[in-house]
Amino acid sequence: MSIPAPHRHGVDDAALELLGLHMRQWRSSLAGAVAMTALVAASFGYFLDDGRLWVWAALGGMVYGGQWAWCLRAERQPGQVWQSAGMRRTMIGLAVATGLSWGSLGWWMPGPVLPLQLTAALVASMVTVVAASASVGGGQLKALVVPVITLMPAALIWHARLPVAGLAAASAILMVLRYGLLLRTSTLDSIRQRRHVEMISAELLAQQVRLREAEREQATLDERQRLLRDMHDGVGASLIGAVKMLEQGDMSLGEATSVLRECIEDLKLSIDSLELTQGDLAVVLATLRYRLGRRLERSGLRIEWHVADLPKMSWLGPPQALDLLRILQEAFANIVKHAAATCVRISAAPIGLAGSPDTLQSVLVKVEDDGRGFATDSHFAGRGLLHMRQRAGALGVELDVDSVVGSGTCVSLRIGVVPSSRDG
Amino acid sequence: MALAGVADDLPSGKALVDRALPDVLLVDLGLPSGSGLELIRHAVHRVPDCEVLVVTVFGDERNVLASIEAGASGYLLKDDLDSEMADQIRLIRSGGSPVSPVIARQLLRRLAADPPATPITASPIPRRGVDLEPSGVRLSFQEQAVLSLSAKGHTYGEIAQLLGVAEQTVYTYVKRSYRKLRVHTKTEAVYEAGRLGLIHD
Repeated sequence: MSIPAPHRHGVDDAALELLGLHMRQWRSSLAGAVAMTALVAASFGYFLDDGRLWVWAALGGMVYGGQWAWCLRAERQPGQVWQSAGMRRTMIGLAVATGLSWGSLGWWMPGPVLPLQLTAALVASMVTVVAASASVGGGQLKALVVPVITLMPAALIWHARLPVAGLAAASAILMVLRYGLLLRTSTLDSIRQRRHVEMISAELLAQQVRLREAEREQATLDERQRLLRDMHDGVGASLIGAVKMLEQGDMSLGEATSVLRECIEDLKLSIDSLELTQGDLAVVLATLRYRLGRRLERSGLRIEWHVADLPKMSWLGPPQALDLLRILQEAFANIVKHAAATCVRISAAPIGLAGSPDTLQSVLVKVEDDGRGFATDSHFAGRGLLHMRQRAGALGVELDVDSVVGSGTCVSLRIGVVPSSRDG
Repeated sequence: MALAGVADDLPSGKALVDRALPDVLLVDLGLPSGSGLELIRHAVHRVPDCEVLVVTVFGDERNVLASIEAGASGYLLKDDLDSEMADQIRLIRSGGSPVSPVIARQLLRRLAADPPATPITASPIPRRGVDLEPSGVRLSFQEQAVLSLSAKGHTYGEIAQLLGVAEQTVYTYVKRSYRKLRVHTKTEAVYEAGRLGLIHD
């Protein structure tokens, strides 16, 4: 995982966030440090005895006040700290003043009083660690730490004559500084990683939204293509044919009416296909009867209807339903036009063992008539049947046409519960 | 059967209903100067016994369901033969309503007994003087059977045979389902209004 590189002034957003995070800590630590020093010094009575500590406290207080104000400003607009040179100078200046104030504490002490000197060293260390974890630029850190780490041990060695304590204080401050830097690095890393993850997930989300949009657009496009193709092959072709024949005087009023009625039926089935529940084959068949049944009965056909409870076929959406409707519509049309039948039997039942995997389950739909039949290799097996086969092939549905001259025709469709060997 | 009058827009339609108090009203949804749905509501309100039939080109789900919800008890397809239209009008007058498989499926979906947590049953909203009892608008067992068979493509005659009841009874079941859809829609509306704070006790 690559972490985005810091930008302007070597400071990235994560560092800015870290700064904001530590400013509060920085301020409260300063307050704590001052309070603790004052408490210890007061308990030893030095403030009362020696005016110099009062001076130190006053100077420290001013520096502290400056820091406080600067922190508040930085918290509000962390970016400004690096963008304005004035702000940066103020920051370094305040860091130097802080370092000098805490580092020189040892020099202000009257005489070699061990507890107070060590307290001062401790406070200096605390200031250092907070500075290390809070500072964002190396400049600020150096400005603060260099005075502390030189003045404090120097005071212990030179002024208080405590060389061992001085060296111990120096190494303690160094250790604490090192710890603070480590802390800072790891916090910064974790902030960067979190930000990176946030960025990536936002990107993924946006990508997903774009993808879904594209899918929706594609679906709309497909739907339009489907309706156009359907109109072109169906209603459009019929109307044009009828108009041509009427113009040439080749068509009677009755024929024209029946063509127009067929067109309306075509349209109804197209519209119905949009409203069908996904996967419900029984309603597809029912719709076919609802739309075409009355006309079949008017032409003298008796309908026998045997539709069992059918399994849900999730792949059966409006486009597939319309294809099935068209196949069966063609079968009905053939019966009316050619079969001279008295009865048509429509049946639909699941085949395959209950409980066996979906891939082995299917539904057998049969349209049987008792008409005169035809030889399947004759010219009757012409355009209409070809269209049916093409549609069935595209759907991945098995189509069988069985016909014996003199004893009727059976069109059967084997429809898989899951689509079988379809392209795409 | 006699023609009581013809109106060609919403205001004159309303006036005609008020004047003629018809037994049967045929409504085209796409009236100029307003929706046919409004005329349906008006007629059902003014002449509660009036049977409203919507005249539609395709009998498509959205228009038919909206009409039933407004109070219509059936629909006629514009391309039906004249003789069939007369039969349909007589049928509706004697208590029967036609139903397409798609509409039957929709009725089942919306009104079937023991639905999984509808807003009405699942909500802790207190009753505000309105009966939100769901059992009143759920389909009875017989009504469900009729609609299921319709959705599988059986005619009313076949359904009567399969269920061992008179054809007339099958008509009544369908018509009653339509009424339940209307009540159900109203109850939903009342529930929604109550939820939005539009109705107070």
